[in-house]
Amino acid sequence: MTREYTLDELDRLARNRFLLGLLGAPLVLTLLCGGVAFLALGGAAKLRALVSETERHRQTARECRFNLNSLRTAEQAYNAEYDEYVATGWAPAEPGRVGWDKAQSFGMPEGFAEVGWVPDGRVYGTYRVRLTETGFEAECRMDLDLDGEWAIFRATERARAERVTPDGVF
Amino acid sequence: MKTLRLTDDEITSWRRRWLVRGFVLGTLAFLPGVLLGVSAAWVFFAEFGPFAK
Repeated sequence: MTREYTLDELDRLARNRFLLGLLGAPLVLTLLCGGVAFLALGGAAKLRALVSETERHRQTARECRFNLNSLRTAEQAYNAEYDEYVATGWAPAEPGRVGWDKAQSFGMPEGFAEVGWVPDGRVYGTYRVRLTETGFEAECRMDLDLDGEWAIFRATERARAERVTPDGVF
Repeated sequence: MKTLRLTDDEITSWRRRWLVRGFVLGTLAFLPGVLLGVSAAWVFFAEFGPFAK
């Protein structure tokens, strides 16, 4: 398809494109140089590490829910046979001011041995069962990012494990 | 008034050609400016900065 163009029109078209290129070049180059500098300074790696760390924390925090449900089932089984629940102390360790980011060996602590439940392998969280008026409350605490703010999960004889603290706390 | 009869392809390549020219000139003008700015900052801090000898 063809069209008639006056010289003025062609001049205007050329000028518009030329200015666009002229002003766009610094913008594109700045973004490019910025991107290269960002990569050179390891920004991408840091960003990736940050994202994957959060994801790793989220994955690890699933341990609490999984283990608490399993512990709850064990307590209920014990209750069905002996008509009582068993209280335990904190295992593998008392939650202090700050947690730990390495998996700990759980061992065979007294209360847990009686109920007949220990987690499969090492654990990142610490567990306890407390007796209540109606039954028991099992709790898991975890401080993977070592900021002193513990992620808390709880399960009771009536309810399966639920996160008590906000979702972003690990 | 003088006019030219151009096809769509011709007018598209006309526009693109001028865009490329602008981009090239913009790049050529921009890079020396950046180099000059960086060198000037370097020299300034080397001479008068907190770690100047």
